[in-house]
Amino acid sequence: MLAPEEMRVFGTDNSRKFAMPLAVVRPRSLEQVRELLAFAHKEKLPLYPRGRGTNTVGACVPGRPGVVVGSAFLDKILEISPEDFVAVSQPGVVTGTLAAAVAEKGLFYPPDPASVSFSTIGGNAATCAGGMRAVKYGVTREYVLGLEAVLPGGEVINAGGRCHKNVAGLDLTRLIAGSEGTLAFITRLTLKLLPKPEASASLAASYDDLDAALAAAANVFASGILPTAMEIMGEEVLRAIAPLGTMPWPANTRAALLLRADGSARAVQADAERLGTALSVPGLNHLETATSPMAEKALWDLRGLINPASFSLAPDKISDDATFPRGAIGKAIAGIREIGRRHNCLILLFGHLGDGNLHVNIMHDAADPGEAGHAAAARAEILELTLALGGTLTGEHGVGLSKLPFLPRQFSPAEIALMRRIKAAFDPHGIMNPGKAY
Amino acid sequence: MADKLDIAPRSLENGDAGCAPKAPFAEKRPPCILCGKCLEVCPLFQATGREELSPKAKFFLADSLEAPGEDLSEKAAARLAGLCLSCGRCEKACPRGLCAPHLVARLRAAHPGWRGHVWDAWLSRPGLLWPMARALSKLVPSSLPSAGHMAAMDPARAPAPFLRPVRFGQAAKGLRVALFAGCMGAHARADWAEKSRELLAGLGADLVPDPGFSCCGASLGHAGLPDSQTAARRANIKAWREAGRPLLAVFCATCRCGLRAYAGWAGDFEPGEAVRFRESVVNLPDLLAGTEFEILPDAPREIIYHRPCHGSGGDRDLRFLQGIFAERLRFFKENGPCCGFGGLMRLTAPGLSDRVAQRAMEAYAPAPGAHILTGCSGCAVQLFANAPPGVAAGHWLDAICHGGKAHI
Ligand SMILES: Cc1cc2nc3c(=O)[nH]c(=O)nc-3n(C[C@H](O)[C@H](O)[C@H](O)COP(=O)(O)OP(=O)(O)OC[C@H]3O[C@@H](n4cnc5c(N)ncnc54)[C@H](O)[C@@H]3O)c2cc1C
Ligand code: SF4
Ligand code: SF4
Repeated sequence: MLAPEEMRVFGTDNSRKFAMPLAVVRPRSLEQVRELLAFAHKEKLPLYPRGRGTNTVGACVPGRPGVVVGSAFLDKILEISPEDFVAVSQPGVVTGTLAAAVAEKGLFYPPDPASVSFSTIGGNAATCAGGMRAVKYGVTREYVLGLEAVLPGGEVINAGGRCHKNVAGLDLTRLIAGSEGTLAFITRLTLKLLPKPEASASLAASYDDLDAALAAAANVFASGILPTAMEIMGEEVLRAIAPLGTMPWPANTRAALLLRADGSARAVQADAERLGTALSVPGLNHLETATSPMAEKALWDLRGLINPASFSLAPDKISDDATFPRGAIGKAIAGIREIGRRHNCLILLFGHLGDGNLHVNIMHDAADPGEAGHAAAARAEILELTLALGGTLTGEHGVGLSKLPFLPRQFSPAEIALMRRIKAAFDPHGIMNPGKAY
Repeated sequence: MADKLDIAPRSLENGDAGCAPKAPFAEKRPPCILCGKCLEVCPLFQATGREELSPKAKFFLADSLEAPGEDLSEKAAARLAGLCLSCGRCEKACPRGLCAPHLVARLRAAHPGWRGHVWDAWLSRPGLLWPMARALSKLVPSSLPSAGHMAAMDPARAPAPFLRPVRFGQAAKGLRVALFAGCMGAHARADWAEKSRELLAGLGADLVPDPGFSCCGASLGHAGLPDSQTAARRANIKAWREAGRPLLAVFCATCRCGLRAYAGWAGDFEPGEAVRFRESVVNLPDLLAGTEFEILPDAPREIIYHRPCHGSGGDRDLRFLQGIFAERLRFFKENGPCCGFGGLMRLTAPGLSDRVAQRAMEAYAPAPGAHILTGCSGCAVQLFANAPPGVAAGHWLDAICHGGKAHI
């Protein structure tokens, strides 16, 4: 594909950064991928793997002139094995489609990024996508048992396999997962599956103040239960979503928690009761347990309102996914609030409390230079705070282009140099997604 | 005489998205954030896997056209962005409420191509439908409806009916009703209009003689022909007013949606009249509430309901058919497939339109002998043309016997 009108969308992603590709190709077979990588290697032509461009950090933007390689036509689920508890898939399959197909066979693929129904399994693996269920089930990397990938030059490697345990050699599978397309083009994934949990229940708990919510969250872990998901919504978020629906909690609520438990029907019932007790700390103003799929959905739909609601507050947002050690989350929230106050920015705070992964949305109007400057300054301070508290710049979205300038604050020169040497071993001419990630 | 009807408040409906630009061709819209949510719902993207055809690509391209210094061909951009079925699904999914049909209509209006004019002539002078189709085939073969579509517009080819009303309900008794048959019903499938009149007569409605309605305007709007759309709307409002503002019974979801959109348009309504117009648009199945049908012995064992993208608001047709067929009716609870008819796109990119239709057929996977029923004229034609051998498809009116009698 060469027409600029057609190629335009392939030059961008959810970061809204843009560069025009030289060409866009969508291989249909391993053979075509091999030919392409052999050719590009020889010509030192940059290649930019792309799933559906839903990453938020510019990981798909062809910053140096090169060819975008889309996985859209590599979109077959190749096998679902109830005996081995694995699924084998091409990279362009939408994760939600795959999860639904395995569920039909009584199996379970847990990683569930909010983009699950419109991002690809290849993209999820390359970014090591997280999701709500990560508290209990972990992130994408933990479900990638094996990978077939093509190296620059056209060589095909098969890393890992279909065994659920495997310690032979260096773990190339886990290295490629999360590498943001900088090492190889993934052509096939072997994914670990679990038995599908029989039942689930969800709880909503809301509090007069944030400290009460955090105390309740600490109580949950202390009670000996690992919930499937534990999400928090801060005061600003609650205010933003209130006009969009009927809220289950009173108007003076300052923080709300959403939790889910899953497992066998009896275990879920018992867990839901214990979670209810753990959540009942002073300051609780509403507690609700949903056990039917419809009632559960109604609770989780509240979280889905955040995205549309955010745009009613300001036209633009800088969104980061700073992640903290669980114990530091209270300090992190307080610190981020303080930064927001100092820069007079509205900051929406919500996210995966269970694994210390906060979504920080700095709302602003990019057309107003003053606001844009404050937002950028606030962001830099938040990232500093994150590192000071022992956190990481990104828990699930990746580095891409957006966080690259901040990386030297998290890693030493030796560490970054080592990453680059590893890249050079895969990709001596640096053609795979150059200028990204590290 | 009470022209009021006891049906669910229409303000509760959704599903009118994409039917007609609300404020036609307004310029201002928020930018697309490229989140990709619309990829999940766009039938054109789903059927092709081509991101350049997705709603987000259309918005990103349009935003780029407006940006200075971009070396893009406006014509090529308008042509690419114009590959759109105007189904409106993207608007419902988009967190920013962006509506591709609206954008596409604007781009088309800005670059009226020759085919747009053809469509204009096609719909605004539908009496010329057949001669026009023949003339066109000599000029642009791809603009000719396929043989399948031609057959779908031929009443003689309609599948044998299998439903006979045995007792009429009271919902329309004594109400003044005019039939709004739409382009297809007025000019190609006059049998649908005929059956509708028979049903209305059976219901005891006070049927107003045909006020001479024009096209509802929805397809004209999507095709980027705002002037033709306005002219059609004006003509319809005038005809309705002169007929004494009767209820407008509609059997095509797209027409219904197109007519309802008049109320949000600053047209030439008298004060208070816009609301009355909107309220007067009723779905024929709603008027048939309480009517009992006999299912004839030859009826297909499997009946599948196809939900039109436009005006599925409240799923009235579905409930009507469920009332008749109960468990025998198969349907998608949500997110059923799009037929791919797509108005102008049926003319400009028939191959893509067919691909979407084939995908719909794969999704329905009809058993041999099954019958797919729908409540939109465009969908009916498209489904008929794309049904696999041995499977029938059409408007639910096709299932109803003429004259209230079975063909034996
Ligand atoms: C509304 C919304 C919600 C989101 N929620 C979450 C969330 O909850 N959790 C989360 O982790 N992320 C989330 N994301 C971010 C994003 O969806 C994920 O990063 C996702 O994994 C990207 O998938 P994709 O198919 O769009 O890949 P792309 O964005 O196209 O690509 C992502 C990276 O993968 C590389 N890549 C893609 N395919 C291949 C391949 N075959 N071989 C090698 N490299 C490849 C690309 O080069 C790029 O570096 C969200 C995004 C949006 C817009
Ligand atoms: S109207 Fe339908 S076909 Fe057109 S872009 Fe939106 S979803 Fe796709
Ligand atoms: S859903 Fe809306 S905002 Fe998101 S990519 Fe599609 S058009 Fe853009």
